[in-house]
Amino acid sequence: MVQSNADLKASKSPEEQLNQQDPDKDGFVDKAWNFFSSMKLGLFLLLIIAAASIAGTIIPQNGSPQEYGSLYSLYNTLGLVDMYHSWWFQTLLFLLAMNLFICSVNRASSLWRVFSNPRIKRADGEISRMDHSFHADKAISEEGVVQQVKDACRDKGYRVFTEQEPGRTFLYAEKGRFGIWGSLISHIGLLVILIGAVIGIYAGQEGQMPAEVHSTFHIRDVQGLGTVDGDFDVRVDDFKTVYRPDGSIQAWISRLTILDKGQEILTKDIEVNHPLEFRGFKIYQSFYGANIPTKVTSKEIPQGYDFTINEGDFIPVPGTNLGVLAYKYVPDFDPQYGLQSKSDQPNNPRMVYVLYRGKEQIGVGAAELGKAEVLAGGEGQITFQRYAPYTGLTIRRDPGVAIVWLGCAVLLIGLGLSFYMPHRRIWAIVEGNNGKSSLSFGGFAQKNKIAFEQDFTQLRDKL
Amino acid sequence: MTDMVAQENLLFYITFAAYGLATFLYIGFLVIRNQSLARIGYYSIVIGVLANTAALALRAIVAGYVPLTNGYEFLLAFSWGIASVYLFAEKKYQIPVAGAFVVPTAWLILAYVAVLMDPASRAARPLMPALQSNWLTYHVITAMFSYGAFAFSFGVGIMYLWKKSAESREKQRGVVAFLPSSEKLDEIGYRLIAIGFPLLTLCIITGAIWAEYAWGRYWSWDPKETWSLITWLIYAAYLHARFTYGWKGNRAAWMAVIGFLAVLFTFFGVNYFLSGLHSYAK
Ligand code: HEM
Repeated sequence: MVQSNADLKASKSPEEQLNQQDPDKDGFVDKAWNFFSSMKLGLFLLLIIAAASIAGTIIPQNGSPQEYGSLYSLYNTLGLVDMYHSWWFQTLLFLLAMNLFICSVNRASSLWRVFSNPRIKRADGEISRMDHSFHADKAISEEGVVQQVKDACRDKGYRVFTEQEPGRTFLYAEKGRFGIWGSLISHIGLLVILIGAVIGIYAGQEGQMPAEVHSTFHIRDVQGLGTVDGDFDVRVDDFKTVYRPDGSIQAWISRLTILDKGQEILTKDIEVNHPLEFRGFKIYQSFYGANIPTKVTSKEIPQGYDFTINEGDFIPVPGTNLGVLAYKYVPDFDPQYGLQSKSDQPNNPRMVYVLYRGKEQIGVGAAELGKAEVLAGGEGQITFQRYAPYTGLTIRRDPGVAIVWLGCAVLLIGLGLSFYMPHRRIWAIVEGNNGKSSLSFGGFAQKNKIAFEQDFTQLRDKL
Repeated sequence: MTDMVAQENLLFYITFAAYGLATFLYIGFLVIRNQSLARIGYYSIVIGVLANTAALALRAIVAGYVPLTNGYEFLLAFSWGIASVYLFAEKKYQIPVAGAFVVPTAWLILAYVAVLMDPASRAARPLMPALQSNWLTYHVITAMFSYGAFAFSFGVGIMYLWKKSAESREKQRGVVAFLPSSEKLDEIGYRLIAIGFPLLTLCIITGAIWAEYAWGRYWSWDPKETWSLITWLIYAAYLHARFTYGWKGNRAAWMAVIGFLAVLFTFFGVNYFLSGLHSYAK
């Protein structure tokens, strides 16, 4: 690229500098390439994605058709019901990725030139048109002034290059040259994040597993993980809820053991924020509950029915108008404590229930587990067999996550370079004339101009 | 225990009063241009920040966790971020008039707490399991500093717009004449966004890491997340428009203003108008 005078003023856009390379290319491919690398498209995409995202936060996402009422079919056609996964939103993201990629490729070589081959020589006129410049006549020799300029710049942490001609020395000093890579690295980071996200969408899987304590399940039997290639078992050794003295919940903790062909591999306590990771799977503590196998019989239907119920379920007694609300499980029941458990230990496990006839509440009781409870003088019987707590596990596999984190790290490095390592450049010409000399000195910074101005003022005062 | 709660409450009102006093002093300074008003205003913010810090520290002791989890605690931290970034930026860029445009935001946030939040919603509450994460702490700390920087750029953006409209009408008298030159305001506004943007990025990333640990999803498009992304996109557009097209001046100032409005909406709007995972922060 021929460096034009345009880059002497930092206020001139680098886009102009960098895109000037081939003004006479105008084939279709080049036009498309230029379109995709243009910042206009970039800005348009950033703002349109922002605007679309706003719409997505106002229109409820993934609701049931009723929530949207008469607008449902319109929203559904426009992809507004699950907007962030709609084809048009994904297309916008894809265009952004293309834009970023092409613009990064375009700029890489020019950046490399600025980075590795700084232009040392500048004409006098160029220097005086820079953001900051001054001219001074000196009473000492050319070499002396060159040395002064070098020392002053080095003191401020600049790297200095010189090039000599008879009677003239050109100087170039720069600081923060790694900073020019910042934007490119940020863009690459963002691309990597998008790639990781796409991998997650296509290769990630998630399943839910309510697993009773002491039970073992195979990873492939988890709903939602059907096709995965994992081959191990998970055993739930324990599950408990830890309460604080004030009764609020501090943690849910499950102790899990991973088994490979019957061999114990590892055991870990998981809780919210502390999942277990194994062969690319992550097992999260995400919900809990208890299964209660229950048998109900009545005079008319003595063989009865078997159910598995949960706390809070309502069980009709077949052939009667009676019904039982399985209200609450109390591990250590004591009438004096009412519904509160006397201790955490299952010393006297009971199921507290409410008996209804029709809609009317006709009695309450605390049924012993495993023993038939006689209802309404013998019209029916109910047996709460066991109380089997389960832990609700969410199991995920997302091969894209590591890539996303890598992208985040790259993005942060890029931003750090971009904003905390501003590239600052200075040029000088020293012309000797019979033991005297004249100095032209100028420079600019693309970013952090205030700091550069300070540097520059201090240098001017020294010289 | 109740003693500490009372002290914390007292500290809140000291902070509130100090920022309020500073607001009036700085506005007074803007109007009558007496240097000592700005100086007292500055000290009054220093006192406010000290009280604000102490209030947060006491809350940490009472609650037993880093106090950045419910709406009250976050607003207290938000005002802390604005005020402490202000102390730093006023000294660094030598623009005491900015106080009249930045400090009111910190004060109004606390006024919102004082007027609209009842004691029950201010009280320390036990942390639900999902909130017990160091990543959450980093998430909110980075949010605080980046929002502080954006609040400053917002104030500077307003100053810019005012200054510029007066310049274009060639009415350069009184208060407006006293504002720094529009070029300087423009550059300062940019610097603050350049500081805030990487921090906002860090804030979003630490939030994603936390979500990954807590729910197994680093991104779920919940409204709060999405609004922080919208804010991020607006500032990214600002940086690019500025850098490649030299979009400075009015357009840049408007974007700085809009960016901060998006920040405010991310906090207030999302909690009060939209729903999602983060709404437990209410
Ligand atoms: C949200 C997405 C993006 C992020 C986070 C990002 C990040 C950055 C950063 C941090 C800078 C340095 C800016 C400064 O120092 O003021 C930059 C510069 C730049 N970006 Fe982006 N960018 C994004 C999107 C894009 C897109 C879509 C394009 C496509 C054209 C683009 C093209 C450029 C250009 C041409 C520069 C000038 C850089 C230079 O010469 O240093 N960016 N970007």
